Amino acid sequence: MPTTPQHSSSGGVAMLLWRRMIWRHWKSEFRLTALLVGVLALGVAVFLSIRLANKAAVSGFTLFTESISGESDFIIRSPAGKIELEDLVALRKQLGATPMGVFPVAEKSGVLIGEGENGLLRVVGTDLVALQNLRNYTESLTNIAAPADSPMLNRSDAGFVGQEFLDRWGGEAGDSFQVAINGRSVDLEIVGVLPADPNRPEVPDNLILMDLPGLLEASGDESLTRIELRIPPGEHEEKTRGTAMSLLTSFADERGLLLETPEQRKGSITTMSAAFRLNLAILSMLSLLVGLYLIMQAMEAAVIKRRGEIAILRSLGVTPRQIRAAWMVESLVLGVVGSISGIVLGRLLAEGLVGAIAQTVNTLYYETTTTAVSLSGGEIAFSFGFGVVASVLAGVVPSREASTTPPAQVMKQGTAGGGFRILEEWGWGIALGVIATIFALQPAFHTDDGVAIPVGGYVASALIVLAFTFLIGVLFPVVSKGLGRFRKSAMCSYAASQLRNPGGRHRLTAAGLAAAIGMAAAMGILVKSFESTLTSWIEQMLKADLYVSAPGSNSLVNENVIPKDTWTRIEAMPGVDGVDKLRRYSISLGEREVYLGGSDYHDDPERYLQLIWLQEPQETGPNALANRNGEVFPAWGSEALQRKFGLEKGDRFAIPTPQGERQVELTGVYADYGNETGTIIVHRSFLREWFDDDVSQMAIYLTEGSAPEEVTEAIQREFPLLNVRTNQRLRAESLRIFHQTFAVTYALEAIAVFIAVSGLGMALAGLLLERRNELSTLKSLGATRRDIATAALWEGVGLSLVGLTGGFLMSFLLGWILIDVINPQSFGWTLMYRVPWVSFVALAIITMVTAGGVAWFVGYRNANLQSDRRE
Amino acid sequence: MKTVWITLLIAMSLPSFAEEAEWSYPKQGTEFTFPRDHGSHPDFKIEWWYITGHMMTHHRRYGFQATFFRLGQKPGEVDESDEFGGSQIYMAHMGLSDPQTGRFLHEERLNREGWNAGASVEDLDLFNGNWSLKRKGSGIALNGTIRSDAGFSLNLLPTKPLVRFGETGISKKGKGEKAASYYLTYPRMELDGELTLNGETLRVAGQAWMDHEISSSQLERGQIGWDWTCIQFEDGREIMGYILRTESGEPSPFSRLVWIDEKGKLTHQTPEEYSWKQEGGWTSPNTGATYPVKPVIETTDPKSGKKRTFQLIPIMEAQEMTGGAGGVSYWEGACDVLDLSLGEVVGKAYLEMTGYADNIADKLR
Repeated sequence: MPTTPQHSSSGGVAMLLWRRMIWRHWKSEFRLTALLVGVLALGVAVFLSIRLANKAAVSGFTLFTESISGESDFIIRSPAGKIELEDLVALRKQLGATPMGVFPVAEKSGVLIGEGENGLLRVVGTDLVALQNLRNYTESLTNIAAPADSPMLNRSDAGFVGQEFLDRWGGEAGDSFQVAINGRSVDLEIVGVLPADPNRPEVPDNLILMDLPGLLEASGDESLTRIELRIPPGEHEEKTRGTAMSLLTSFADERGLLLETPEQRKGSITTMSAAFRLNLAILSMLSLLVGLYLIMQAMEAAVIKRRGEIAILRSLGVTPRQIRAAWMVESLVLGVVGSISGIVLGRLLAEGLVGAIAQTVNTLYYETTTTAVSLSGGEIAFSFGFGVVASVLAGVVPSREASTTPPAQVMKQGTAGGGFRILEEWGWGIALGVIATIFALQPAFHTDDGVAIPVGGYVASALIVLAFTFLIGVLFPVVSKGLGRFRKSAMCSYAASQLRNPGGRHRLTAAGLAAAIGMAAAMGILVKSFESTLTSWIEQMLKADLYVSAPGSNSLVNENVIPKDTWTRIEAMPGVDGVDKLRRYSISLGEREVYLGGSDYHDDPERYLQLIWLQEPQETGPNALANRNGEVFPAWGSEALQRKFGLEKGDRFAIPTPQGERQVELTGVYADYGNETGTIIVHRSFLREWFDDDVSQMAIYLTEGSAPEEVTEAIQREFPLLNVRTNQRLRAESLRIFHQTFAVTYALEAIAVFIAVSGLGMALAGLLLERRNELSTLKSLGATRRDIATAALWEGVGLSLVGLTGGFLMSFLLGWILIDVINPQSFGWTLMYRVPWVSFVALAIITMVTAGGVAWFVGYRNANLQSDRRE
Repeated sequence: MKTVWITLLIAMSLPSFAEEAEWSYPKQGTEFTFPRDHGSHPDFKIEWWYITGHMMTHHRRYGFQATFFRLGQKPGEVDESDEFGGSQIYMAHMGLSDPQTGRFLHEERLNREGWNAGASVEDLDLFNGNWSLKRKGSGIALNGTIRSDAGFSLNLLPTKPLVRFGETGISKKGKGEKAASYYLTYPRMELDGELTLNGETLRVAGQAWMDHEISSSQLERGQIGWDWTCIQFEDGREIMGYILRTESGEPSPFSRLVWIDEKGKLTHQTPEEYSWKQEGGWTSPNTGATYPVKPVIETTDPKSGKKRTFQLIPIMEAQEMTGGAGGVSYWEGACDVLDLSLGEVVGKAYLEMTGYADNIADKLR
C-alpha cells in the first residue's frame, strides 16, 4: 500500500522527535521537569481551589431558601422585611380553590446564652402541621419526628436541631439549652434531631427549627419572614402555575409584597458578596500567570540547550514544522500533566480554603453554611482547559524560536540571549501602558443582576503586567552599574557584566519576578490604603465611650435587637450621661438588599457626630434629619448606595416600610466603610413610626469621672446577652475583622512569590549551563567552586533587584487601579492611597535573601559542569 | 417512612388524649338545630363530614370521595381568631376513581386550625387548604382538587330529608357508654358541576351521599376495623350498613344495617338479621394489604319481607387510600350493586374497608 511507508516514516519522525527532544531530556532533568509540572500544578490548583471554595462557601445559603419546603416554586417576601399574619390569611383566601402548597416561615435571630458572638443562632419556625403535606409535593422527603413523650405543637420552648448542633454544643435530644430569641430568654428543649440528607447542604450547627406559633410567641414578634409556595405536581401543573402566578402577582401588588422565585432570591442575596468573590477569583489567577513566565522561561532555556540537536535533526531532513510541532507537544504534555496534578491538589486546597471564605462571607454579608466541596465535571474541564491552554500559549514563542533558527546559527554553541528578542522592544511596553490607561478610565460593566464588574480595571491590570515585561529591560544596565560599584570583587563584576546586556532569558526571569512582586505589592497597597482609611474613619465615627449592640449585629440578615425596655433601663443606669441609638433594618430596594438605618446620633449638639461627606447636605447640624418636608423625609445615603443605585444628592425615591412606601430625599452622601451593601439613614423618630422602637446599637457617653470598665460590667451583669464594648475594644475588633477578610489574599501572594523565586533559581541554572565554556575558563583562571557560587549569588541578587524594582514600580500603578478604579467600581468605597513601606522593605529583603540563597546553591551545584557536557 | 409520620401525629395529638374525661359524648334525646348542627362540635373529639358520589358525563363515569375530619386537641376550644390554633387539627382526604383509564387519584392532608383550615360552629362551612365544603342555600358546595391532576367543583342538592341513624338517636359502636356517635346523613343528593381531569373540563351530573358523624370515642378494644357501605338503589331507597370486625373474627353485635325508604323512614337490622360475607380479595401493591372488595350482603327487604342478596362489584379494584396524612390506609371505592337472584345491577354504592393494612382502632380510639 502506497501510504503505509509514508505514514510509518512520519510516525517514525514523530517518535524520534519525542524520544530525542522531549523524553530523554525529561528523564535526565527529572527534577526540573518535576518543578515545572509542580509550578503549573500549583497555579491550576490555586485557581481551581478558589473557585471551588467560593462556590462551597456560599452554597449553604440555599439551605435557608430551600430547605423548609424543598424546592419551592415561589417565595413571597416583604420589601420591608416582615409579613404580617393577616397577609397569610388573606393569601389563603386569595388562592381560593387553586391547589397550592403554602408554607409560612419565620426566621428570628437568637443566641445561646453565655456563648457570646460564637453562640449566634438562626431560629426558623414553620407550621409543622402543614409541613406534613409536603408528601404531596415531593417524593424525597426528610422526615421529622418528635418522640411521643415530647409533643411539639405550639410550644414556644421546644425545637429540633441538626446533629451538627449537638456535635458543636454537646448534649442530645431531650436536653435543654438556655437561648435568647430576639432578646427574650427561653429554656429550649431539644425534642428531636433533624435527619441529615446527603443530597442537601448540611444542617447548620446554629439552626433551631420550631413550630411557627411557638417561635412567634417566644420571639414576641408576630411576623413572618417569607411564605414559600409550591405547586402540586400533576398533569395540570403548568395550568396551575399560570393561574397561581396571576393570583399571586395581584396579591403581592395589592399588599406591597414581593413575589420571587428561589433563584431570584438566592441571586439577590449572593449578589451582595459577588464583588468580593469575583476579586478573589481574579486574584487566584495570579499564581498561574506567574507560572506562565516560568514555563516560558524553562522552554526557552530548553530550546537553547538543545540547539545542537535541533540543528542535527534539521540537517537530517526534519522540517521546521515538525520541530515546532514537537515543541508544542512538549508544552501540551507539560500542561496536561501539570493540570491533572493541579486539579487533585486544588481539590485538597479547597477543603482548607472553604472555611476561611465562608467565615469572611459570614462576617461581612450574610449567614452561610458550607457544603462539601464538590468537584464537578465542568469545573474539572474548565481548570484543565485553563492550565493546558496557558501551558501551550507559553510554548508558542519558544517553539517558533526552535523551528526558525537556521541550522548554521544553531550549531554555534553558547550564544547567550536566546529567544524573546521581542522583549528588547521597549516601545511595546509604552504602547501597552497607553492602552492600559485607556482601559483603566472606562466605567464598570453592569451585569443583569446589578453586579458591577470593573472589566476595564482588570484588563488594564493585565496590560500593565504585560507592559512591564517589555519595560523591565531598561532596569538591567542601572542595576548592573550599581552592582559593579557596590562591590569590587571579581565575581561581583563578572555577575554585573552578565546583567549589562541581558538576553531574553534574563528579561523573562525578571519580568516573572516583577509580575509576582508587583501583584503582591499592589495588594499590599490596597490593604494598607484600606486599613488607613478605615482607621481614620473609625477615629471619626467612634466618639462614644461604650458601644452596646445586639449579638450578631454585623450581619445583614441578623435581626437581633435591643428591646425598648432594655435600652430604656440602660439609659437610666448610673454613669450614663447620654445615649445615641441606631436601628438598622434590611429592606429591598429594587431587587437588592440595603440597610435602612434610623439614627439619633446627630441630635445632641454636644455629642454631634460629624460624618465624612462626599456630597455635603445643606443642613448638617443637630436634628438635620428630623426636619421633614411634608411627606418627603430627608435621608443620607452611603457612598455604596449612591454608586449602586446611581443616586445623586437631591434625588427622591420610595422606600418600603410596614406602613407602606415612604418618599425620601437624598440630602447628602457620606463615606461608609462598614458595609458595601449600601445604607440609607433617616431620623430614628420616623423609623419608630414605621417599624418599632427597638434598637440595634447604642453609643453611650459616660458622665465625667465614670470608668468605662465599671459601666461595661454593670450593663453586662444585667444584660448578659448584649455585646458591650469599650471604644478601644471596638476599634481593635473592627480591625481584626478587616484583617480576617484579607487572610486568603495573603496566602495567594505568598504562593505567587514562591513560584517567582523558583523561576529565578531555574533561570540561573539554565544560564550557568549555557555558560559552561565561560565557567571552564574561569576555573582554569583559578576560580573555585565557591567563587562561581558567589558569582551566581550576585547575579541572582541583581536579577531579583531588577525584578523587585520593576515589581514595586508596577505595584504603584496596579495599586492605583485597585484603589481608584476596581475598588470604587465594585464596592463603592473611596480609599486614601497609602503605601506599606515597611512591608515593602520586608518583602524586598525576603525575596533578595531567598533569591540569593537559591542562586548560590544553583551556582555551587553547577560549578563543576564540564565544558563539553551537553546538558 | 410512614411510621415516622405516625409518630409525629401521635406526638401532636397526645396532650388531648390525656384529658379524655373532658370530652362530651353522644347522649340519647339530644335534639339538633340546623343549620348550626351541620357545623362543627368542638366539645367532641372526633368529627367528620363525608361525601361520596357517582359522577356521570354522556359516556363516562367517575367515583369520588371527599372527607373532612376534625381532630380535637382541647375539649370545647375553638381558636377561630388565632392563625395558628392549637385546639383543632383538620385532616382531609380526597379520592377520584376513573374506571375508563383505571386511574385512582387521591390526596390526604393535615392542617391546624387557623390560617389553613377550619370549621364553623354555626353552619356547614369547612375548609382545608383549597378544599372546601359549604352550605349554599338549600344545597352544598364542594370544591376539591387532587394535586394538579384533578379538580372538581360540585353543587349538591339533597333530594331526601336528613336522617339520623341509631335506634335511640345515637349510633352505638360498643358496650361503653361513650362508644357511640351522632350519625347524620343525607342519603341522596343530586349533584352537578365540573370535573377537570386528563386535560379537559367536563360537565358532570349524578348522585351523592353525605355523612356527618360526631363522636369522642368510636371503637373499643378488640375491634380491629370495619367494612361499611352506602347503597343507593334505583328504586329510590338506600342501605347504610357495616360490620365492626373483632379480633375473634365474629362481627361485633354493634354492627348495623339500615334500610332507608323513599320517604326517609329507617329500618335498623342487627347482625343476626343480615350477613356480610367477605369475598373477592384484592391485594394492594402499595401496602400489601388484601381487601375483600366484592362482599356479599344478605338482608331482608322491609318492604317485601323477602330475603335479598346483593354483591358489591367495584368499578375498579385499585381504590386504596394509602394513608399519607395520619398513617391510616384504607380502601374506599365506588361499586355497582348486583342483585344476585335477579342477576342485574340494581344500584350504586360506596364501599369502605379499614383495618386491613393496620389496626385502625389504635388510632381512632
